[in-house]
Amino acid sequence: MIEEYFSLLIIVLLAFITPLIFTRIGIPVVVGEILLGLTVGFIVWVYNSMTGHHLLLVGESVDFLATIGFIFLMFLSGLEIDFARLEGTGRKAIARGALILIGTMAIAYPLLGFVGQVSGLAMNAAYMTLVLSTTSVAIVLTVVREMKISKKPYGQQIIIAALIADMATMILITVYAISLQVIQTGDPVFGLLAAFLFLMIFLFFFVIYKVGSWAIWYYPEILKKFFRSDDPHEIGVRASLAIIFVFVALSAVIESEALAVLGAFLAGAVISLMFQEGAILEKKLYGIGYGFLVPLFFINIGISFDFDAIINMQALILLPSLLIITIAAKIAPSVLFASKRDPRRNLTTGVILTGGLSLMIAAAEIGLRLGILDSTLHGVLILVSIVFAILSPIAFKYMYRRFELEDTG
Amino acid sequence: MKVIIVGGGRLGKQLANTISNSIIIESDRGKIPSLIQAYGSRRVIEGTGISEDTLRQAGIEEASAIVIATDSDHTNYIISVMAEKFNVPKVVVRVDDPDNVEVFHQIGIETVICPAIIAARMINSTLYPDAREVSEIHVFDDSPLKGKKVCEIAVPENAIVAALLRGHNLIKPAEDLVMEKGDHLIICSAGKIAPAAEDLISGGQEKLRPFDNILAVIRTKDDLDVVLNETLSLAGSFDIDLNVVSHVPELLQEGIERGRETGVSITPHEINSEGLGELGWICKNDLGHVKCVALSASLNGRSQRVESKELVRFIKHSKIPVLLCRGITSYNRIITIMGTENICERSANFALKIALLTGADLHVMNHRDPEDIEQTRMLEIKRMGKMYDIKVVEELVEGNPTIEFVSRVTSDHFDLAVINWDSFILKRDVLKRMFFESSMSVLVYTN
Repeated sequence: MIEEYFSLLIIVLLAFITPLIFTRIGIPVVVGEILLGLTVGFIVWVYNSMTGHHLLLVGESVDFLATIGFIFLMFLSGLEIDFARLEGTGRKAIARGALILIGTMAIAYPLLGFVGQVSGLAMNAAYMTLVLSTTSVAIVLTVVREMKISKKPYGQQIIIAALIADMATMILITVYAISLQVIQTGDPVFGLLAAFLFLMIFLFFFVIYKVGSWAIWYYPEILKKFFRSDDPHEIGVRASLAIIFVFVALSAVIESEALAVLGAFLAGAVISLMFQEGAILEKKLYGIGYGFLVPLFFINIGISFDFDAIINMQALILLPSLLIITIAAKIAPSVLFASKRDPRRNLTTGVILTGGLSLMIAAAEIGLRLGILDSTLHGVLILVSIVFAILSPIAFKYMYRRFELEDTG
Repeated sequence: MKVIIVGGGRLGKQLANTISNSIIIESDRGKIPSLIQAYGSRRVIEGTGISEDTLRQAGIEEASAIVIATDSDHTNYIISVMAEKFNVPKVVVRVDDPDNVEVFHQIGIETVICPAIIAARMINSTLYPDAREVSEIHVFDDSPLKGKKVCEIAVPENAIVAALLRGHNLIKPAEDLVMEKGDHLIICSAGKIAPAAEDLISGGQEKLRPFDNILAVIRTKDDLDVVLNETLSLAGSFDIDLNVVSHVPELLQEGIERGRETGVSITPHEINSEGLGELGWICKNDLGHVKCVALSASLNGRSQRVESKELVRFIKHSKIPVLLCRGITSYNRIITIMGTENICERSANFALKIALLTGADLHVMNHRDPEDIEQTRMLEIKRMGKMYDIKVVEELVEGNPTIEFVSRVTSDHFDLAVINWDSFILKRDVLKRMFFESSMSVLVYTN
């Protein structure tokens, strides 16, 4: 147990110094957390390789906390969804976002199949397509807010496209993972239970939303306390945690991590949908998430990274291939569908949509645990997500500013 | 006589020069050496006036007067409260923002000195020693004065633009100064400005009207009491054109009769169905210039879901503000909510104009980021309230705006709520409930 405290100390110290270093050099902090985690993991790996020891930095308790961090991250992603804006933007923007996602999948799937054949690696092209189609709403939101275009039509289009990719891939990954679990167990009762729970989660979403909306009208005095900064009992935070774990516990019945992820995401989404503007409660939840649990998850990814798995020929072929496929699959449909007016801007939309950090890592984790991905693919996917998380915001900002300059003459 | 001066700025130093035994409290360490050099170390105390210990050290318990003259109204307010607590016989406070003067009066401070107000009065009396009237004109978003230069205002012969208030600043009105939305002009005249000339300056009273005409929709007999009575009262008071539509000729006839009884002229229109679909078409094609549509907020047996869906579709497509009536013939309390989005300002504008014309109290729930110090719109509303003798109450919303708004309108009595459908600060499904389940009339509009 004492060793675990030391591990925790190292992680918490890394979490503390990461924003101090990485905000100065303009790299997203989450990427910094993974990079620092990777550095520590690499040092341990070198030490273990040279001495023959098996020094482990992460034990069960830290791993459990990291899993909670992962669930919390998905919850916060759900909380980020601005349903009012989604509703206000109109059907055309939603249709464009959906077309971009379908286009991405249609391009990625055959290309991944081809790479699988050429490399000789047993690669599940369908699942890999879903993983590479993810987009990180967090990165997109951070960048468009930084560029002060989040409320302009162009910024809105990007946010909508990212939201759709985020939600749709999340649901598809869950459905795929559960289906695979059902096939693996070969138990029809388990299959029925899984389908029942899947529906239950959506039913819960609907019920909580309806009850919440009803309560806002009839019991506003009680609900007011949830959003007050001076509530000593933090009832809003407690209620949010209860909602998260209602969803997560439901998924635990069939031991499906994918369902837990979807549940946490829906818990965040239902709170966002129910209350729309809850800045103070959101800040408190961000404090818990981004202050402790989420960095723990990202640093843990870096520390636990399997370096042995990527030091081989297959990884060397896969890394550039996946980078190219992601670029092609995201940019081509964006140029075709994002907007009729300005193909250059559509290109920049495609560039920012390549950043799929948290959900891509989440999907890679689920894939590894379910045996859909081997450790090489898992490792390469994490590297791909890091590369895009670093490069896509930089490339987007550069291209956008250039076009703006050209337009203003 | 022991006098304490809080704040060793220009005013504090001037006072210290004239009051020989006064004690100066100054928090800025950089200013201390020069103060000590000027008045000696026994008369200067380093510290903040909001500290009880510092005030005791200066001898507040025995002081016969305290002059509070720091450059922060907020700090001055806290020190004033403390001075009251220590029962200092005479408290004099300097206030920067003219709008804060009243706040100090409310806590019992009688001598409040505001340099901006004094300067304005001095400018006025210097320019017009015989001035008998000072008029204020507010530049609305739709005012003809907006974008004009000061020299382009057709001011009557006996008057002059003496000053211009922009936000917290009092500006000398140079001839080429261009007026902006929210500016407040101070006009001084040697005699009373003729009403016609006042209209010329302000662009006429129609700019104070929230809308120039109303179309009242009468679908049932009850609507005559609910919709027609409310709109008749509005039209009668503000000289607004009133159009009435109905698919029942008898109801239309009765509406005309009621109009005649109250002295309001009604223009009738017969329609084929009671649905809002046809109404939208009529508003656009036949009438063309409808500025507000008044409907009954009671469902009369219709489904709330269907009714609200139809209503929202109508608002979105027609872009005409809709007044959901509850038969309230006199608005005494109006409520609206403002957020950080610019579109919310229109709610406040509508609500303010209705309050100005009805004399109602205006409650503005202000949901802003605490770090956002730009509160110009609220300042303008308060200023307009003062100018027209309207009570404006600002309520800061800290938590969730939808819940806070619902809590306010369900726990207290309001006659009218003004809401922007396109604003993201209020949840739409809750708004739909408000349309049909609250006890107040609701004016809802889209951008």
